[in-house]
Amino acid sequence: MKSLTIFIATLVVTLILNGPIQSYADPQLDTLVSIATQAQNNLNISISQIPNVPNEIIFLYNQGSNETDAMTTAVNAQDVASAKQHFLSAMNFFKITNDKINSLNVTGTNDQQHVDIRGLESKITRLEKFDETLQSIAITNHIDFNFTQSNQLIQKAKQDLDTGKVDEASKLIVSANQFLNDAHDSLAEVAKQRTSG
Amino acid sequence: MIETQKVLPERMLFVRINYTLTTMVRAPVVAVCFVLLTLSSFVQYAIGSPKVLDFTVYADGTTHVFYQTDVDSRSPDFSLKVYGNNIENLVVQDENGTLLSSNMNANTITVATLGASTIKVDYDTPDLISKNGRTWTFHVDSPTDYSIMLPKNTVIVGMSASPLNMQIVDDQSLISLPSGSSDIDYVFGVLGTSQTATLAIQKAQDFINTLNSTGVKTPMALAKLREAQFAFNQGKYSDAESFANSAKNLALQEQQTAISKPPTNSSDNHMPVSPSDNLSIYLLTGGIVAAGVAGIIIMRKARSTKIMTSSEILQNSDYIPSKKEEIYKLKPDLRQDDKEIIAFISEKGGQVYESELRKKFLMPRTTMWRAVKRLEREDVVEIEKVDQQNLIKLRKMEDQK
Repeated sequence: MKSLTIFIATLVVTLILNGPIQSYADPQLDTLVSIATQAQNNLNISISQIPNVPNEIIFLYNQGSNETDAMTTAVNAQDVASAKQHFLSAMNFFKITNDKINSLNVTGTNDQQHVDIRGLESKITRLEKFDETLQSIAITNHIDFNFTQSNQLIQKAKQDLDTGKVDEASKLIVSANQFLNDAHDSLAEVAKQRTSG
Repeated sequence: MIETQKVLPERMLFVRINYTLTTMVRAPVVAVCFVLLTLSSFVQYAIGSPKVLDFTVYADGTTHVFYQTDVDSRSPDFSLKVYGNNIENLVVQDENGTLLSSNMNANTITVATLGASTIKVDYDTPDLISKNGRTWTFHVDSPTDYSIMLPKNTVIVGMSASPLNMQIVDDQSLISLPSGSSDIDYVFGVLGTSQTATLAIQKAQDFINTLNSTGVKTPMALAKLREAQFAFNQGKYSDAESFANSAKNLALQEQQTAISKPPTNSSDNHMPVSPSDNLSIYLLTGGIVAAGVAGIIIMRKARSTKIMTSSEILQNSDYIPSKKEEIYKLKPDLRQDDKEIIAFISEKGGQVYESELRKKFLMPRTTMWRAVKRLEREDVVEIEKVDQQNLIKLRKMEDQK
């Protein structure tokens, strides 16, 4: 009986422990090197374009570079803990360096129209995804819903954006969004009726 | 009850106390075990149930969130917190793709699960990204591991957590991160991307054309511009941008030189050939020859490379894949959609291109890539690069038995 009790207790403890514990793989060291090196290279190019670079920026960038080198050494030695520590430190220095460059306001162009276009392109991409999701739901659930209008509106918005008609594209995006929201409500209503019926 | 077993030769009395112990302890221990067992199922359900959390960041700073989790099918509803207060395009589905109705209160969604065992939640929110100058910052505090897909033409310049993994999917960085709070700082249109390289080349080209149209010769600038275009074609965007900027500077120097030189009246119609003109001719000739050679090599390579379908590859190989039933048996915890992918690969002889999977299941590239990587982690499939495409092959399960 004692052995049975021990067996049950062991079984229960094993079940409890096995459930919640998640095993985390060590980070891929190549990933750390890739991200830090990319940040380093781009900051290097950004700094090279600044006339009269402040010493503070050079100092911070060098600190980040030193940490990147230390990280690469740790990676070569397969020292994961040290590599992670140097990675975080390097990225922190690069972030501060980037913020300092930002404060100089010498890099990058602030073209408002370009920003608007990028925003509209993103909206169109999201609407396409929303449209695809709803179409997929309609097909899966055998709901006959006509998505031609949303497809046309999105295509037209894309064309207008390509030809620089930003205002027209914006209006079409609003219309397409409204259509898809209505479509969502209709599909939800049909699903509700089916499940309650 | 104390039981005398036997008297040892040394006259020591050995007493077995197991009956005393079991009688005194048995009932509470068994009761505690059952309570713990019951609790463990709840703990496992809350903490150990499979969850997927993916963020896709768009160029305008809006983030698409995809969350999938198992829910108790006996419960009438399920509540979850969403990231951000401004939510758009919210869609909640069950495991069969049925749209579920949901109510939102503050940043909590209550979903009428209607007997579903898994729910998938999709929505967009602008609240996860902040912008300072040209730097964008993604901030999230996640209770589970998650992945984030950054927009095209971005470079990470700061990160507060160590990533678990990073891949490039469709020119976008897909990063896996552990649970917890993390910040990712990234910048757009940075130097060294195709976008900025194109812009720099275009600017240099326009400037050189303008000078040439006014009669100013710019052979050195043109040569440098060709170097920029060559580097761009090689995918070396950083070099391309640097060369393009140099080309513009050279054009500026050549313009100043042309202005400072007094006009020469030659007695005949022959234009003097300067060393730079010779250099230009040599470079031009060299460029044409190099382009010709490259063209011939590419044509030969194209002729010799026959693009094969996955079924043609299969015919030409001795590959014997595992049967889907065998995989299901060894991996009973696989998701339903993953099982469907395995079934399709199995039907196709055990290997298909990722593009075939996308066509079959009408999934976006990133979603399919995540599914394939998930199966790879489960040791169900292996990914092989063939003709610049991902060939997905079912692994032999014999080793795992």
